[in-house]
Amino acid sequence: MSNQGLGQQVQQYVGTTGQLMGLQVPVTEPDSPNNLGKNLPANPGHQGITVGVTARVQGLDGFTLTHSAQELERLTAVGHALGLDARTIEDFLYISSRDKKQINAALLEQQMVNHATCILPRGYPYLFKNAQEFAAFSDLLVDEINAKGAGVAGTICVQGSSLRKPTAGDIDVAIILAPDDYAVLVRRYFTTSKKLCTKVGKKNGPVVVGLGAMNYVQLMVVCKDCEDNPEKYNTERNNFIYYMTSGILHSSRSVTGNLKAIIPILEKDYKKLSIDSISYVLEGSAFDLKPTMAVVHS
Amino acid sequence: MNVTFTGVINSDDFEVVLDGLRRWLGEPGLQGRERLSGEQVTFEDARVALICSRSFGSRGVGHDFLIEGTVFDDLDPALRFLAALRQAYVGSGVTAELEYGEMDADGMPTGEGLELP
Repeated sequence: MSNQGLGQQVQQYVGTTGQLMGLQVPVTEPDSPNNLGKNLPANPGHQGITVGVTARVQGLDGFTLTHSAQELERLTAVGHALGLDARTIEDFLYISSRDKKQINAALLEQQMVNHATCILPRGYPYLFKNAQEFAAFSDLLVDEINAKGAGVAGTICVQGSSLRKPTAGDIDVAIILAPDDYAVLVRRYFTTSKKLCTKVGKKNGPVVVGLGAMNYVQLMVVCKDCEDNPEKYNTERNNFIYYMTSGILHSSRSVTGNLKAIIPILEKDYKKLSIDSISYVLEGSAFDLKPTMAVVHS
Repeated sequence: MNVTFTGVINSDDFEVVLDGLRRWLGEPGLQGRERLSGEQVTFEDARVALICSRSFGSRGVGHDFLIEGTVFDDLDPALRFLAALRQAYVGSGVTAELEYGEMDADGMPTGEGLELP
């Protein structure tokens, strides 16, 4: 696909009626300042996206890629025409493949259109009244995370359905952490608040696993041993495996510091947003999912 | 002094797990949430704060549930309370493995975790 203007490309898919698979699409003019086509990759690589999402879902419990080859081709083509990058398109497909919340091709296409032609140009998620409200929310959120978080800096963003559909029920907030920053949280937790122990020395009591100054890769080696040799470790191994393999730490978990205390503060001013959780998310993990929208202090 | 706990509820059926938590906590209206990371329930009152979620491993979501939290009570009543969690599953044939540890005033453990007898 050529690197032509978004409006022109969307028009090719939509036709002149403003209909895309029966859905109304707000078509952007080719010369509009909000023209997302300016970021369109030169070689979209539809097949690469399909191969990528197939590999991610294959053998993963709870996920099944149900879109036909034709639907996958169309979804990736529409995604590129909308100016979405390859990773965002792949993540849209991944999210739609969850067994308990399957999103069919038509609805997924509509959500891609919603994100690219509504959310990105206006710069704030569904559920917010306007950009000013999102900016005020962002200021409060950043301040509270700095005050009550677990003391590691990350990229704060909104992710989830509020960036894809107007009927979203809540706002999901993630703090994306680099692997070694994520490792700091897990390591600190399992050497202070909780103790990952081996049972080898049970006669004299359990032996605490010396996580010391292990980086992310080293912690993953311990994690693999916990999975391969469960009988060797105490029950804490289950949480350790969860934290390391999922790459997500919800605010209800004490490993996140006092993040959960932020939610009632936000709810006081933004009750309609139904903020259920703020999570630390490992960069590149299964829950570091696009699309996202950055939350920055003004 | 508070007591922290962690454990596994050995069931793949979230409704069974949730029903047990409802009985244990005396909260018939307790509801869970379906997350991308699997089903999850959180609860907090004056006695206990907890999170229970489907386990996760290198192959994705697992087939049992992890529970962790804090009982805001002294050791003996806290242990009786935790024992009642296991009792809540007796009728459904589900087992729960639990470890606990006492916490000091700063929320730090005073020793290694012990298996609930």
